[in-house]
Amino acid sequence: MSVPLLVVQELRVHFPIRGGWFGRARGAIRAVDGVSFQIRAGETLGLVGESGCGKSTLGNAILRIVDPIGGAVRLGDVDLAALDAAELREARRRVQMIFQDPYASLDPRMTVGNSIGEPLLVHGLARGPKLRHDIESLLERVGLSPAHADRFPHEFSGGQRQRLVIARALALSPDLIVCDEPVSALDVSVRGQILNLLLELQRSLGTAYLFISHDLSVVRHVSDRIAVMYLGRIVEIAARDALFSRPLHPYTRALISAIPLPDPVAQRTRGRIILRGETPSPASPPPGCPFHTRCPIAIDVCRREVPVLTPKSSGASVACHLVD
Amino acid sequence: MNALAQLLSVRDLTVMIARREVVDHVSFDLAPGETLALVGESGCGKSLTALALLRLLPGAAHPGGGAVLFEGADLLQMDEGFMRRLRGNRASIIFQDPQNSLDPLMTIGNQLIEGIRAHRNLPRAAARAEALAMLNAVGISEPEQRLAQYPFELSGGMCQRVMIAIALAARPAVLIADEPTTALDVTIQAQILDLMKGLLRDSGTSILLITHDMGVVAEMADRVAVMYAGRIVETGSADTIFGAPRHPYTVLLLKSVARLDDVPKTPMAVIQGSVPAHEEWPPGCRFAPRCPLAGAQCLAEIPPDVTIDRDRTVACWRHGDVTAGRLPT
Repeated sequence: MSVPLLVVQELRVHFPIRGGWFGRARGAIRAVDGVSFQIRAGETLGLVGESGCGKSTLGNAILRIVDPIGGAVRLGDVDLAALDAAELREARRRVQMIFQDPYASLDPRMTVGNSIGEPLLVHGLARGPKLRHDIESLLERVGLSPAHADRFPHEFSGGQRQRLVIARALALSPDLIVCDEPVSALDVSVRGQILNLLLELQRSLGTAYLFISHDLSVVRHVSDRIAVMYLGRIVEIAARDALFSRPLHPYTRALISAIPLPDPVAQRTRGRIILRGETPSPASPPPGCPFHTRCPIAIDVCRREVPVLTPKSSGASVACHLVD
Repeated sequence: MNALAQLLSVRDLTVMIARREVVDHVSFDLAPGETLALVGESGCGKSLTALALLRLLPGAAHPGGGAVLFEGADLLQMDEGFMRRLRGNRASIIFQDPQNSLDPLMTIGNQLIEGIRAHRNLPRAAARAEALAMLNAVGISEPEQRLAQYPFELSGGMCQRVMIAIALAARPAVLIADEPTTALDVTIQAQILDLMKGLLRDSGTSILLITHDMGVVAEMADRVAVMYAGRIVETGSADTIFGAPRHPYTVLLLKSVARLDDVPKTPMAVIQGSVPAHEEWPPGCRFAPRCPLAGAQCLAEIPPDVTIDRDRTVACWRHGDVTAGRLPT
């Protein structure tokens, strides 16, 4: 196996809960609580989980948009989690990010050409006629016209804005793009266009993606491997087809069975696991396995001991006391 | 179908914003005990249609014609007093965002009890007992304690259960549910849909379900009406809409949704272009600029609703070509 592009080890992000006298910390939200995984060059790792599970915080922590309190994020031989501001700026050339809301991701008062070219200017990679040329070829790369460079964001639809955001992320030829819910804010009929663009760019440029989404059907379509998060931890990580054909963790099984299928006949005939209860707050996670409060098969040990993410013979890694 | 057998009959409903018809001659029927899904992308007018039925349109919008026949009355012609007695009683509505639909300054118990007593002449103690029974029915744990809690103390899924409890407390004939699970996580969505199906099976309530999610439609609906740019383009039973769609938009929309059985990492089917804003709606068929089958007639003339089978209509000049398999995808 080749050397991984990105190695995340025991990453932790806690947010203090302040209150009372002088805003002292009263506790912490453990948004990301000891997460480890790898991404190989050119592959897509899908990261799924429900709201509040810490998946977006994990993406933000990799780029140091939020600072982790522990763990490492190794990109080649640098640890992003340990860099100072100047070193970080340099390292960020190799990792870029795309967010959910293309309306909030572009400065409304800048032409889209200037937005796309800004990373090249900041890093001193192009200016003058070369910058203009680079901006125009980036626009063509994402399926827009070079003539669009002089327009403003409000002149574009949601799907076109997401193309612009992707063009800006590509400007520095990054090795990895963290895509945080990149199609969730788009109309159903436009999502496919953006997913196809991301897939085509990966094929031609070899960019790796960390693809964060709550939509399992979309994640399945774009990913090579998939990690499932629950309450700040990865509970299962496996190759895409293995995860969908043989989900091992009880949460993964419930999650897959809850996907609404756009097919009434299939919907009527499949078995469904309806979980009871609500996701606990990450400010006060339950002792033991974080999922035990909703798990249909939990036993005594699940309430006491935190299960460790362990590699299984199938190649998947699972954090569950009851999976051999 | 016989119009008398319908609980709700909407005829040529039109909603105007700034002199434009953003809901344009929409017609559909809802039978007792039936679930009809009104499905479409954002901006297609599905939520405005729902609001117009109960005369809850926001300030900028107003009805521009048509009729909403419900239990023998045309709701567009009734006075506000009649509508107030109707809403939350014979016809209830729930919205996407349950936390914003509840009063943040009132306990869950007071909101439930107020709702029950507004429509039924019950003493407070009896209304409270009824509220407890409703919370139990919607699967809320520790209902006694919940009565004393405020909305901010409850999760989104919990608030939606409370909304459903309030909406169903008066045993309405119809429940209008506008994206009831869109703001919820998939495992919570599964719980809520399961709950709605059970409660409605028991009570015989009809549902008008407004959603953009084809998976939710497939799970809940008996019949489907597909909306695009202010018009209904196709109606039929859920099985025929999913199994043999006849409008090019429906065909392409179903193909462009990621499925668990498609081939990963291959190009997905797409619909070219984007959903037009209502200032940009074209003069003929509104889907024509994105439709691979569109010809001169499609660009010039609005296609009429054609009944192609019992209880099945399509508004497309080229539906014969779709049936013959000539729609490139």
